[in-house]
Amino acid sequence: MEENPDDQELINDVFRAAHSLKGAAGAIGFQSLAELTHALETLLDCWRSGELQPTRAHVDALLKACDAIRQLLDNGTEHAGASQLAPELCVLRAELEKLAVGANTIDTAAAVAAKVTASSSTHGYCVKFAPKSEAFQWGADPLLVLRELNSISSRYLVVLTETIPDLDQIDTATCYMTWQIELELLTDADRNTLDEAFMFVQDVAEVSIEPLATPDAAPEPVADESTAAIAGEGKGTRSGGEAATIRVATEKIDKLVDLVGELVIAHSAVRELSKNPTPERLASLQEAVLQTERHLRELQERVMSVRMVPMGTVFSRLTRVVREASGRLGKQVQLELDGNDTELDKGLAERLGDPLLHLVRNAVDHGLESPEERAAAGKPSTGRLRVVARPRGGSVVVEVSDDGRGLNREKILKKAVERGLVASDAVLTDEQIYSLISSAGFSTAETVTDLSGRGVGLDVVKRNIAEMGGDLNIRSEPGHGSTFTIRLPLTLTIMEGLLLKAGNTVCVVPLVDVAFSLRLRPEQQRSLAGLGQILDLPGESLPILELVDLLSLPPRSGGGELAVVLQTGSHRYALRVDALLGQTQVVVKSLETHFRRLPGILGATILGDGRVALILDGAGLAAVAGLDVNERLQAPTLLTHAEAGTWN
Amino acid sequence: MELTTQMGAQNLKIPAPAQCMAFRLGGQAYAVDILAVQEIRRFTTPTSLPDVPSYLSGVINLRGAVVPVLDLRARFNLEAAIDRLTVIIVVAVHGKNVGLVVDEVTSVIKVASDAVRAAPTLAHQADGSFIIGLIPHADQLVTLLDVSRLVSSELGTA
Repeated sequence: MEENPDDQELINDVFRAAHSLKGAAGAIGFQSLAELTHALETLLDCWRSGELQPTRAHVDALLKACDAIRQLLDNGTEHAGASQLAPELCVLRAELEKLAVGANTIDTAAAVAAKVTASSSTHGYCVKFAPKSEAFQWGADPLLVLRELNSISSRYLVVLTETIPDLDQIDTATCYMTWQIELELLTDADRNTLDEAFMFVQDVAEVSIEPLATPDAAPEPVADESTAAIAGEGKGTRSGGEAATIRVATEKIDKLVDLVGELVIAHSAVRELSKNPTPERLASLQEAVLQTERHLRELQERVMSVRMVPMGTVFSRLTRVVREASGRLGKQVQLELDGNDTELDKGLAERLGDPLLHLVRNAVDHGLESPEERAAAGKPSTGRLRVVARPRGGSVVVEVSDDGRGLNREKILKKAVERGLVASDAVLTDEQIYSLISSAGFSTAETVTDLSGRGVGLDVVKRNIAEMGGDLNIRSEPGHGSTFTIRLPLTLTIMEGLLLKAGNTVCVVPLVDVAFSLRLRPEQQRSLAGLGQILDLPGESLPILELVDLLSLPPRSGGGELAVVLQTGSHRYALRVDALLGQTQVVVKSLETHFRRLPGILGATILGDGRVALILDGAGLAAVAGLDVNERLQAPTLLTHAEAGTWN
Repeated sequence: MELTTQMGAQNLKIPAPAQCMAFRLGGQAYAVDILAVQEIRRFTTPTSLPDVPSYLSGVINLRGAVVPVLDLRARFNLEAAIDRLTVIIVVAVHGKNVGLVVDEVTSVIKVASDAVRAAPTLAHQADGSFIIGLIPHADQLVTLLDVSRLVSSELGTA
């Protein structure tokens, strides 16, 4: 930081780390830590906004803060931490807040050690390396060892110089130096690698390797984890940890084994019957094939379920956070959780936790008003916060919605212009404006609280979700609340689909996207200039999309007579097709494996005859066709026939 | 101007693969590095994709994997008829598989290390960037294609 005071990304990263540490500390009731990190954050925020340039003294203070955080974590229990460290904390806080230039000089070695320990897990070691004085005569070169260490670890080296005599007494063939090394192994190295590094000098040097004391307090892993997730650092450890193991109930595995056994039996029956196919045996053969299919299907489901966890595991963290946050802010919040049973891939569920926590905290802090404000606005004093998880269109959609004040369009715009995020004369849609609040360094809260509010939350949330391949959608109605919708991609590799035919092409829509299908009658269809074809149904009018056009198939005379009405999120439209071929289970293959993503296409599958069929993405198709979510045709009232007539 | 620089470059040795797979595209001879070739398949009609250039024929099922197919005839504006000799050469580029539709696979050519000549590229011939050089073989010049550049630029993959 001292070297690159202008490196915004670095400052942002540190800032986010501090922010999430604060959040995590708050979530587990670690008061003193939360206070300290809050002060830390304040300093960092000054850097971030460019009010101050990082200086040596600042960095010293920062390191000192790291040291204090480590001590807090070591002490573990809040009582001990609060009472012992309170005075020092106050000093530190004052120091940070005043941005003291003349901060006490910190013993560099200690500060560095603090940094190492604070950031180390079990990979930290303290090594004492003392070559014997005759080491050089044995041909040992300590420098080689140190270089080796450099390649497997990041290290902090202290040379102990007590043993070095005066210059005129130095014998060039004698080794006087001793090193004390605190190092952190790179992820792919372990203790053995470390031992190996010293293997060649063990006869001529005294080497002691001890693991650095790791904080045994519970808060450590929690803090570490969220820091990594939010700051986007430590990707290796995180993804590695996710990929490494999954805990499965033995019962589930036993069932799988049983099922495989039954499948083997069923298969041998099929095999036996098909060896000698006679017309009489046809019925039993069919029966045996059906039996196999049933087992296969069950096996499929069970194997998939091994990777799935219910959303309840993610939701469980929210209750506590909402309770604490609302208590501190003096707000009354009723949290409704819906969709506890919705299952999500384990890896995704783990990574969803932090972004979701952020959204919920944001909603309590910014979204919902105080009881007085609510009463003044004529709303019940208790704010409602709803978190809903639903499988939808082969994705999982998680919605965080509140009935609070909603987003202030003008304020967002004003701030964005202030921060130089948009030009002052830019014309933006509501959607574009709302998405501004998820850009880096943006916050609409009028006061900075320790709960949230410096605008670090949303940009990280957005980035984390994007890293999972999903997206974040923000809707808001002033005075009535906001809804943050997280859409996570499909991780299920098998799904139920409806086979459609357009021209000679067969494709699949996820069954979850399908509302119903119908035969189109001429009197139900209208052509509106500029709007294309409209399907009039009792109570609603829907746009008609041509599957042939969407798939860029050669145009043909006369449209199909069948339509499938698709419902994905807030889109609802009819898709005209030539034929419906029925429901089937399809194995989803990614197009990205050998090609790339295509808009409106979820993936591909292989049909029984070996051909490839595309799997359509209901929401994506709507986007391709340019259907605007917010301008859905409600009823014929939108455009009267008279008006339409003038256009025709 | 473009011509003179190319002619100057003709004396430079062009790194060439030891063996190439030669094929025919509308009467012309082309070749690719044989090490890039995974397999040769009988032509099967690919499933077409929406909103892609016309020479991207679609995707085929390659033992359970969904693999894009590039019609080289269409790519080079040649006549693209399909007969019993038409095949799909499956190549591997950056760990991804891509099928190339060609009229016929003719032979495997051994290439001497100094045999490849620079192609006389003209500035307006955009296709030139996919051509490594020309190999004289059996009384004709075989155009050696750079599979990796061809595939990555046409499919928009890395």
